[in-house]
Amino acid sequence: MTDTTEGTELAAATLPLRAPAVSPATDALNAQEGLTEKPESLGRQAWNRFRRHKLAIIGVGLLFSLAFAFLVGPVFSPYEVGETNVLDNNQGPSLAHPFGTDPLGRDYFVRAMVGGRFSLLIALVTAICATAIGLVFGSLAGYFGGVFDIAVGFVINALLTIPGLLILIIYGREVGNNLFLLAIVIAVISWVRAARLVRAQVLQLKESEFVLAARAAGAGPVRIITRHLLPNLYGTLLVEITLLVGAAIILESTLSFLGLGAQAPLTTLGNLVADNAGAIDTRPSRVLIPGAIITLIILSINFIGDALRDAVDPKAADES
Amino acid sequence: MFAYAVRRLLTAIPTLLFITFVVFIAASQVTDPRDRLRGNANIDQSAYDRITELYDLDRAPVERYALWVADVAQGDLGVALSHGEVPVSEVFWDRLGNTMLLTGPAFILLTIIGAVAGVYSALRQYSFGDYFTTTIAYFGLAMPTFFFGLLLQVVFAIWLPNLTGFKPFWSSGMHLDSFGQYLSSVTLPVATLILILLAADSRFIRASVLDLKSADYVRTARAKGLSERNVVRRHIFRNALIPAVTIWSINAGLLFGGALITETVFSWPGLGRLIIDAMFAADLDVVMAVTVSIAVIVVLMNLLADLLYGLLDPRVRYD
Amino acid sequence: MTTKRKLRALLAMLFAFALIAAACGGSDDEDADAEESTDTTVEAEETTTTAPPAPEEDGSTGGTLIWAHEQEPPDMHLDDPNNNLSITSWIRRALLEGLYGVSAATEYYPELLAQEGEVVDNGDGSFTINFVLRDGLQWSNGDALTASDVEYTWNIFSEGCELEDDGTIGDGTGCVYLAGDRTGLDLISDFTVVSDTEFSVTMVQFFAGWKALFDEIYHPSFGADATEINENLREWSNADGIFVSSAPMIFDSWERGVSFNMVRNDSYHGSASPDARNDGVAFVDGVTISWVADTDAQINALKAGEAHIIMTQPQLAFGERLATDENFTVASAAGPVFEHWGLNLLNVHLAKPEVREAVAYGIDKSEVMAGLYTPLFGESLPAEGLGNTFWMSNQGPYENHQSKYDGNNVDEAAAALESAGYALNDDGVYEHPTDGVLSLRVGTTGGNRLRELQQELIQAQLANAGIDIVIDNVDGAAYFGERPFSEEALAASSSGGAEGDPTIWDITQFAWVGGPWPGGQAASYLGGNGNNPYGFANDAFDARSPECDSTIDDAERAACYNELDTYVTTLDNGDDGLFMIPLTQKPSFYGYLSSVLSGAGVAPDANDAGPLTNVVDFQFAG
Repeated sequence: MTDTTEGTELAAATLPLRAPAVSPATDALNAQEGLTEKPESLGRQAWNRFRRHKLAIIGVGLLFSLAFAFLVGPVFSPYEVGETNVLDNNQGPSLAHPFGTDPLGRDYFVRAMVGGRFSLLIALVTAICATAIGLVFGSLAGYFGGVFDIAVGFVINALLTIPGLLILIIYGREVGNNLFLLAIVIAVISWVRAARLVRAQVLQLKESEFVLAARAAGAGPVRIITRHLLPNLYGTLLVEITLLVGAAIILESTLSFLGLGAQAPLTTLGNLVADNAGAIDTRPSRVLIPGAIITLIILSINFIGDALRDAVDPKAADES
Repeated sequence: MFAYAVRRLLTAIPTLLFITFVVFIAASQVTDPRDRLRGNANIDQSAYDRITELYDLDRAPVERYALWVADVAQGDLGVALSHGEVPVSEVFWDRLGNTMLLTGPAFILLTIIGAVAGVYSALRQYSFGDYFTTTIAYFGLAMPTFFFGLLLQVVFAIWLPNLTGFKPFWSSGMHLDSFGQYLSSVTLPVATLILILLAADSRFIRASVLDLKSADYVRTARAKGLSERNVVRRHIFRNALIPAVTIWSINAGLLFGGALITETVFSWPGLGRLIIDAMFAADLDVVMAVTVSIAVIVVLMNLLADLLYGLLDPRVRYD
Repeated sequence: MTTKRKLRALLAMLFAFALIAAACGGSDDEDADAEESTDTTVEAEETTTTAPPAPEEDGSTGGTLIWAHEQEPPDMHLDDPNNNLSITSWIRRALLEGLYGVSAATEYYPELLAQEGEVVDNGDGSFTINFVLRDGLQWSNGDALTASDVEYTWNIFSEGCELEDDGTIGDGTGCVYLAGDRTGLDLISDFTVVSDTEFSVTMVQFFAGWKALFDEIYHPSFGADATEINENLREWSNADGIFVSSAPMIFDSWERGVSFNMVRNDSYHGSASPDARNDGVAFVDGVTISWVADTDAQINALKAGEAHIIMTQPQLAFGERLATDENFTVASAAGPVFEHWGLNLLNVHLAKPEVREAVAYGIDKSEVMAGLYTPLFGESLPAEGLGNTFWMSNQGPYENHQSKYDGNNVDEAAAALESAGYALNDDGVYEHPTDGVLSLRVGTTGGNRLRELQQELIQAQLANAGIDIVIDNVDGAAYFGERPFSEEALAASSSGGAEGDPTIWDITQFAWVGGPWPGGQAASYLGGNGNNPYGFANDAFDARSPECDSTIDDAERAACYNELDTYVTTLDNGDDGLFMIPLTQKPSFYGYLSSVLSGAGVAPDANDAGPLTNVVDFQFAG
């Protein structure tokens, strides 16, 4: 941020231009538009910058171990996620049940791992959908301007006037037992920031020399957006997806806490916290374990997100 | 500037119409105030008909929205079905006041603590305090509101008194018998609201102060021999406030979002609980009243932020 | 980064981490021993500065009882269709008395009456009931409570109604909407005041539920006419101020969203309840109901000393957090509300009696009880679950009609299914050659944790029997409108599937309310009734039901209701039976701080009249 008058908006707008990314030079048009030029290894540069962030490396490690545990943990457990044994309920942690058991005697380790799996899945789907929506609206608004820009700006402004949670509260109860619908509803209220970032960048990129050159060579808008602008947005989108995963996990678990999110037998981390909130002073581990997993996931994601932002855009990231 | 403000308010009207339309249609699709009457053997058709008439449920949602807008334009917010069918305004203003009692102190504290922490950690980059606030900020970002609220509640309102016999805070409810009671009931929810937003706030201010530290005119100020104290006070602090105005106006909106959850966790009788209960009770007019009020507050805060911009930054002109 | 800087960073992070860990109370150590906090709670109560007003120390009277409850009523009007909430009637229990009350054994006792009403058969089909009020009854303003007050109440109910030829209010056309349920009232053809304490009511035909009539008597100052009273009831006051009371408490103030306050009625004439141990005015100075968001928050409030008593939905957390703690008493009794699975007879699978029998065999009620209820609520509920939808297990005439299906009978379930042509498929689920896989959806109003756990447990039990259960809950009251009581489902039900959509629901789980007069249950099973979602239409049942209601002898009538139940819960009376599987009574219970409230003053409430049913007995420990 160099200009003090425009705050965050500018951070996105000052993104450095990068040469177009690698693409096979099979097309004659490619040569015409200058796409055959051997790119310098931007990926490597970014990776080098990313690597410098120790916290991000920790974050990646943590996130991958959690994801690995979510996937593999239940496989090695003798218990099924829905397997009840009421006579064995409310156990503390033990060798047989590393995280104890819940009021129905279900193994809490398996539940926490499966819950993590679904929470991450919902969050990933949400993040990708929201970014996709943001990409479409952002690039339409940025590239074509005019009516598109006004319309998208109008919708964004309107969405920003009420908390997204409010819309989720209204629709959450309708989609609570459908994982993908739930993810999509969360995505529908989460695409705003992505759209603004994309719009700002497209706005700037479309005046850049290589786009002008491509246009001069006769490329249509679709081709320009997909072959020339998009590759330059990958970094921004990657950062955005990462950060959205964290936001989506929080939204999903908050909805579950209000009794509006995923419904049993769907198990998510938010569900687990909400269902066991009543046991917080007698069996705190049942709340703290899923709560801590949520916190750790988001912590790692934020570490990674910050470093990624720095890696793809060293100027905009802050100096920590 | 006055003309600008008026113009901004006028352009906000279509925005408000659009967002209330979206919420109205969504809410009337997923709820029907008559649902609760079904399955009740004591209810006869006349009760259905009464509710149908009250809400014009025999018309299409779009028509009902138009009727609702017409009513609101005349200052009629409708009927609070789940509050004994009194006018919404009878329920609404009390709850808005209660929410202000919660979000008001949260906003002030958030602004002060955020600014102090942000400026301090930027000026003393890589110091103990810097790392400390950064770490707190990371955790604040990573913890869901309800989880943090739950923890505060159990630790400070249950475990602490049980272990020490000292009970400084209420775990639930709003208590206004005396100022002391108010403080002891508002502390935990306010702390919850603040921690969640503090992270973004202080990091934003830290970043903008860091930018200014190396800005040309600051270097010039230093070069001409101004003391570091004066540089910070006159050049950095004031200019860092300008972008901060944005985040403060954003915070005002976020606080209302946070209040949705915090009020539920701490049984605070504000707008958040009002709208969640209303949603479960299919109390459409209440849902809409809360939506509109939050949207209006956000619009006003944004306008205020823009006007403040002008006061702080002479380069901004309203034309 | 220099080493020094790294060290500082590390230190700061550790410090912040420690702070956060402390804030999170991050120690799992507390896990195993819930008792750890037991002996300190009392101190907490005594030494606090901001806790609710501590009970007065002058012995055992005085103090304001604080009851934390989650659901604030919209207003105090009871019969408003939008406001048919238990909480409203619970509060009104503490403010108004009626001719009869309901005891903890779910039986009627004369409350304002001096003795049982005398039923006289007039020989022409009509009946007259002669009542005598107790001596010394009075309102909180000192007025005597007399037969003319009862007459006033009747006049209010019948005001504006267009009378039928026989002098009754009939279908209630023109009546002011004061009584949503006019059953019984619509049979009254004459009301005569004989003296200050004596009056008689004539009904055009015998009505078995007559003791439930006039369960609240109003004072003439409530309003000049029915319309005015209808309005005044909402805020429990009129232009002259607050309504007078005939019960232990007087309404004081209502701070919306915060609390509802009542104070002692010092003119109270004393309780006639067989459960009451105090026959004078209430011990406590008043009662404050403080509105707390949900069960978990209520338990927190109780544990934090901010409330003295809570009464919630039966919740595992309730028992888990409080039952294990010596400082709290959880008082429970078998309540009048019963959980059941209702089966849709129009479902292609459930239409087969063998399939319904297999479901009944597959469900192990004993395991449900042992796992979810007995540990918390002890012996107050039968260990084998409930087997009757008309009488509850704590009522005299109760019979278990489903004892045949007790326990886990996977083999019998399999045999039943195979006899209907089902065979196990590769997934271990039974499948019918034409009707497909035996997969059924069960739904309820979401958000009741204990009920959801119960669903999940039965889901697992039926999975063992090769029956696939899909949980399909809908949040809040919307469930009823969307599933069993949606227009399409009801149309299908009353037309035997010819109209509407019978596939909207398969199995519904929720609770009906029983009571001292269970005749009302039959309404849900009558053929063609707009409130019968099951698709059950049995002429013999429809004919027998009114016969039961008009049986005068109590014992005969009780047996008759048992007979009606066998149509519903067994296959003994035809292949269309066994569409109701009662699971258990919902325990009615509450928790309180034993150190603050004197245990003897708090009786478990089995009639769902709420915690204030015996408010006169509440007493703070001396």
